[in-house]
Amino acid sequence: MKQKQFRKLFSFLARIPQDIIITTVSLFVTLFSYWNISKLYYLNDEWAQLGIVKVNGLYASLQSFSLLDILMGNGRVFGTVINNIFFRYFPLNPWPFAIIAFIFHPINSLLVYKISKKLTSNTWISLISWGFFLTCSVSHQALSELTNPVQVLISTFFVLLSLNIFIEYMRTEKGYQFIVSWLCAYTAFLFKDSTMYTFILLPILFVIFYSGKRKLITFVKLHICQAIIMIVTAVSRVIGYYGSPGINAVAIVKIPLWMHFSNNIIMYPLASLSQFLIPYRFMYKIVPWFVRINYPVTMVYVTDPNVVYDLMASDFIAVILSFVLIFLFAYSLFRGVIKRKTALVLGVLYILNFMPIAAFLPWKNASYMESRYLYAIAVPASIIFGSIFYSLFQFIQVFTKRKIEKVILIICAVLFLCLFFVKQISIIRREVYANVIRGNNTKNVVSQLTRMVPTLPDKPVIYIGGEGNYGHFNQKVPLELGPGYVIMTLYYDQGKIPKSLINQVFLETMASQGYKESEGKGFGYFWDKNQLLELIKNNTISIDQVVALNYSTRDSTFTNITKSFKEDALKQFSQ
Amino acid sequence: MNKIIRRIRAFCWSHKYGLIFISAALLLIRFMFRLLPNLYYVFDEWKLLGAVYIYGPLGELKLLTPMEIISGKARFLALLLTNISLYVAPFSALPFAIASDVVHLLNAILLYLIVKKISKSKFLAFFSGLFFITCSVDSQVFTWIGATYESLFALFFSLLAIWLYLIRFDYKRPVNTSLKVSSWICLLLAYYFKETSIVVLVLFFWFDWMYGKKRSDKLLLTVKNNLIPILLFCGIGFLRILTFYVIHGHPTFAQQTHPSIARIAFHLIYYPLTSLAHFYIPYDYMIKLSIFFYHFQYQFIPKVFSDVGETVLNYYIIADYLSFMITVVLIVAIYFLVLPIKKYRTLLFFAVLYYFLQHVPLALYDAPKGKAYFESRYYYVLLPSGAIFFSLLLIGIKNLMKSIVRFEFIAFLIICFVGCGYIYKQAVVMKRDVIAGVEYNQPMKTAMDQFIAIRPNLPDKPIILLTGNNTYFGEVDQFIPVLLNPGYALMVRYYKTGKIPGELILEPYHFDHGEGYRLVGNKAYGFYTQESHLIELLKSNPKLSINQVVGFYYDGATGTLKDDTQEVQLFLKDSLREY
Repeated sequence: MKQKQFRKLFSFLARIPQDIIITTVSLFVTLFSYWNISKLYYLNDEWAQLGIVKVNGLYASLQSFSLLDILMGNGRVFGTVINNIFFRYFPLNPWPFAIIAFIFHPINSLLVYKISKKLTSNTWISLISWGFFLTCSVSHQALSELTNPVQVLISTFFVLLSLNIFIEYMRTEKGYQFIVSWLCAYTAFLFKDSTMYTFILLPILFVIFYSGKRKLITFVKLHICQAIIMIVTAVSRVIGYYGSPGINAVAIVKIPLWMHFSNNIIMYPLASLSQFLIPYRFMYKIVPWFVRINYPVTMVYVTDPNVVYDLMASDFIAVILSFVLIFLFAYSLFRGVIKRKTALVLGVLYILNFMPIAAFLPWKNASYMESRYLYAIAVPASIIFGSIFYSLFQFIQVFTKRKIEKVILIICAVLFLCLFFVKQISIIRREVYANVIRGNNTKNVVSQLTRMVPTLPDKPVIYIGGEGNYGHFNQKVPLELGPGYVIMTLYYDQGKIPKSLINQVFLETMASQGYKESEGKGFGYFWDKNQLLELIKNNTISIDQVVALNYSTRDSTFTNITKSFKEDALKQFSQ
Repeated sequence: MNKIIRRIRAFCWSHKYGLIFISAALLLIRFMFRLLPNLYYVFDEWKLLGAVYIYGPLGELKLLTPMEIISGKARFLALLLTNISLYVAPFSALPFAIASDVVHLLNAILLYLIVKKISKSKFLAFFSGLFFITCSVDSQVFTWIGATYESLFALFFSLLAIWLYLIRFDYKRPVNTSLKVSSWICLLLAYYFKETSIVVLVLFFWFDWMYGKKRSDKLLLTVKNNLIPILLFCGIGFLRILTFYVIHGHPTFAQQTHPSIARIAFHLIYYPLTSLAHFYIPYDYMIKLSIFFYHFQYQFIPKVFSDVGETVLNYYIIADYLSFMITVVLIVAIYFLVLPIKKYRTLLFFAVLYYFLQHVPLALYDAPKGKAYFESRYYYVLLPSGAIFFSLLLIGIKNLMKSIVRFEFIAFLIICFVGCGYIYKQAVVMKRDVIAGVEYNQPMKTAMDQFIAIRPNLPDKPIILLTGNNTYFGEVDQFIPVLLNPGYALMVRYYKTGKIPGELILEPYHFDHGEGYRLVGNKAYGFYTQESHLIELLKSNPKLSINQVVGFYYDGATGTLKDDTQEVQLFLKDSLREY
C-alpha cells in the first residue's frame, strides 16, 4: 500500500514540467544566495548616474547620441533607460534592481539548462551545467552591484534566448524563428553593446549545424544583409573606441592595440577558464605557496610581492589549471560524451564572449577580470564543466562492477557536486554581504548628513574635517567616490546646486575639493581648512555659505562645527 | 689489397648514412668546440688541483671513506678522471676539450644507434643525433671544466647500457646474457660518474616489457630479469641514504625555505612541464621573449617595480610561465602530429619515459634553477629525449605537409632544410656560448699566468700583498679577475716551489674572501690586499721579516701584473720605522 502511494507521489512529480521545477529551484537558490542584494546601497557608479538622471531626466546619458548612434549600440539605450527609470522613480532604493536580478538569473539558468540539453542531448550534463551557472561565484558582481543586473542579466537573457531559438531554427528551419533569434540578438546588443559577438556567433552556428544542400548559397542568402549591418556596427564601435585619445593616453609602453587584441584573445580565455572554478580568495592563498616553492629567491628583490601574487603568479597558476581543464574537455570529446559539433560551438561561444573584452580591455590590473564580465561567459564555461564532470564520472564508473559500487559512486558524485555548489553559494553570500557592509557605511553617512543638515544655504560650501583616510588619502568620510558629488546629488532637489556641475561630474573623484559657480548658483566641498579659508579671505566665498562638519572615525558620526569654524575663521582674519 | 679496398668500399656503402652522420657530427663539433682548449680553471678546479698536488692522482678521493665511495656520493669515477687530467696537464683544459669532442661524439653515435634500433628510421636517428650534438641548452658541460667528465661519461655509459640492453633481444643465450650483464656493468659505471643515472634501470624493465616474450607472468619476469641490479642498487641506495641524509645531513635549499615533500611532489610534475621548451629555445632568446611578453601583458607594472625587481621577475616567473606554455604547445603538437604515426610510437614512449625519469632526480635533489632554466649542465642527460622529440616532430610536420602539398619528396626536402637550418642555428648559439666561456676565462688565465712569469719563486714563509687599480665581481678587495680568493689560487699556483704548507691547501685556507697569515710547522703563508692590515700584522708579530713580503700590483686597465716587492718593502720599512 505504502509503495503504491510512494509511486503515486513520484508519478505526480514526474507530471510537473521539468522547466517549472528547474525555474522554481533556481528561484529559491537565487533568493537564498543573493537575498542580501535587496539591502545594498548606492556605492559609486550609482551616485554618478543618479545625479545625471536627476538633472537630465529619463534620457540621461543618451542625449549626446543621434538616433543612428543609438541604433549602433551607443549608450546601451534599453539598459540605460530602464536604469534611469529606477533611479528616477525609486532613488536610493535597491529593490527594483534586486527584483530584476531575482527574475532574470533563474530564467537565465533555465535557458542555460535548455541550451545545454539541446547541444549535448544529455540531461545529466545539462543539470550539472545549470548548477554551475546558477551558483557561479566568480560572476557574482553581475547581481551584487546595483547598476549591473539590468544591463548584464537582461542582455544575457536575450543572448541565451537568441541562441535557444536559433538552435531550434536549425532543427525546424522555420523562418520566424530565424528572425526572432536575430531580433533577440539585436535587443541584447541594445542592452549591452559587448554582446555584439552574437552577430558573429549566429552565422557560425549556422555553418556548424546546417546540413542541407547548397550550404554556401543558403548561408549568404540568409545572413548577408544583417551580418553586414551588424559587423559594420561592431567594427565602427571598435574603431571609435581605439581612435579615442583616452585609451592611448594611459598606455605606458606603446604597443599597437591590435597586438594587444591578438594577445588578449588567447590569454584572457586561457587564464579565465580555471578561474570559474577557483574563487579569487582561494587563488590568492595558493599563489604565495606557489611562488615560495618555485621562486624563493625572486621575492627578495621584489618590493611589493602582492603585485606578483595578484597578477603574474595568479595568471600562471590559472593557465596551468586551464590547460588541465582543456585536456579533460578534450578527453570528454574523445570519449564521445559530447559531439564534435557541440565542442566546437562551446569553444566558439567561449572565445567569442571574450572578443569585446579583448578589444575594450587592453590590459588587466589583476589576474581576475571584473566579475561582471564573466556572467555571460559562464554560460559556455558551465556546459564545458558539466561535460568534464560527467566524463570523469563515466571514467570512474568503468571501474565499478557491482550495483552497490555504482550506487555509492553516484552518491559520492552528487555529494561532491552539492558540496561544490554549497561552497559557491556561501562565497556568493559572503561577497554580497561584504557589499552590504560597504553600502551601510555610505547609508550611515548619507542619513546622518541629511538629518544634520536638512537644508543648504545658497551657494553652499561644505567643509568636512576629520582624521579619516577612507580608501584614499584625505577621503574624510567612508564613501567610494568624492563626497562633494554625493552631497550635490543628495541636495539637488532643493534647487541650490547648479545643473552643469553635476553634468560635469564635478568633485566625483575621491578626496577631490574645490568650488565652482554656474547659472547663478554655486557649490563647493573642502577637506583642507586652509584652502577654504584662503578662498574666504579672497572673498571668493562668503563665510555664510559654509557648512562645516567633522566626521569622527571612532564612532562614525558627524558633528556640526559650523559655529566654531566661523569663529575660528573670524579670529584668524582679525589677526 | 683490392680485396681490402673492396671490403672497405662495401662497408662504407652499407653504412653510408651512419658515415654521413659521423662526418656531419665531426664538422659540427669542430665548428663549435674549436676554442675549448683555451678554457681555464674557474672555481672548484683549484681545490681539486691543490688536492692532486698533495695526494697525487687520487686527490680528494683519499679523503673519502669506502662507504662514501661505494654509495656513489663522491662520483668517484668522474673525480678520478678529473684528478688524472689535472695531474697530467695542470692548468690546461686540453684533456677536458678532447673528452668533450670525443665523448660527446660517441654519445651522439650511441643515440643514433638507439633511435635507429627502436624506430628503424635513419631519418629520425640522423636528426636526433645531430640535434643532440648541437643543442646549446647544456653548454655548461663543455664550458665549465668541473662539470665536463661527470655529465659526459654518465650519459655515455647510460646510453651504452641502454644500447647493449636493447640489442640483446636480437640474440639467443649466452650472448643475450652477456649483453645483459654488460649493460648492468655500464649502468654501474654510469652511476659512479653521476648517481642520477640510476633511473635508466627503469628503462630496462620497460624494454623487457616491450620486447620480451609474450607470457602471462611478464611483469614478474621483467623484475626477475633485473633482480641483480635491483638488489645491487637497493644496497647502494641504502648506503647512499645513510651517508647522505643520516651521517652528513643534507640541509637542502628546500628545507631552508619550505617543507620538502610538497615541493618535491609538485616539482615531479611541474619540472617536466617547463623543461621541454628549454631544449628548443636558447636561454637568451627566452629572456628576450619574456621581457617582450612582460611589457605586453603587464605593461603598467614597470611603474611598480625597481629595475632589479623587474629583471628578476622576467628571468624567473615570466620565463617559466612562457616555458610552460611553449611546452604545452609542443606536447599538443606531439600528440596530434606524432602519436598517430604507429610505427614510431615505441620511440615516442621511450622518449617520454626517459624524459620523465630523468626529471625525477632533479625534483628529488631539489635542483636549483638558474633563473627559469636549470643549471645548464643538468640538461645534458635529459637531452636525448629532447633530441628524439625534435626528430619526431620533424617527421610529424613532414607528414602534415605531405597531406597538404601531396608531394612527399618536396615535404621531405623542406623538412630537411628546416631541420638542418635549425640545427645550424643551435650550433651557432653553442659556439657563441663557448666563445663567451673562453672570453670569461681568459682574463683569469692571463692574470694567473703572469704571476709565475714575473716571479717564478717565493721567499720562505711568503706573505703576498696583492693590490691593484680595479676591483672585480663586486668585491672591494678582489684586485684580479679570478672568481675565487686570489690568496688560495696563488697558494696552488706556487705550491710546486715547496714554500706553501699543504695543510693550508687542503683546509682550504683563504678559499673564500679574506686575508691572513698562518704558520704550519716550519712553513707559513700569508695573503693581504690592504697594506694597513699587513702593517698591523708586522707590528703585532716582531718575528716576521719584511723580506717575507712579496708585492704584486695588477693594472686593471692594461691587464698587466707588476712585481712591486721592493716598493712595498720600502713602504713597510718606513711605516714600521715610524712605529
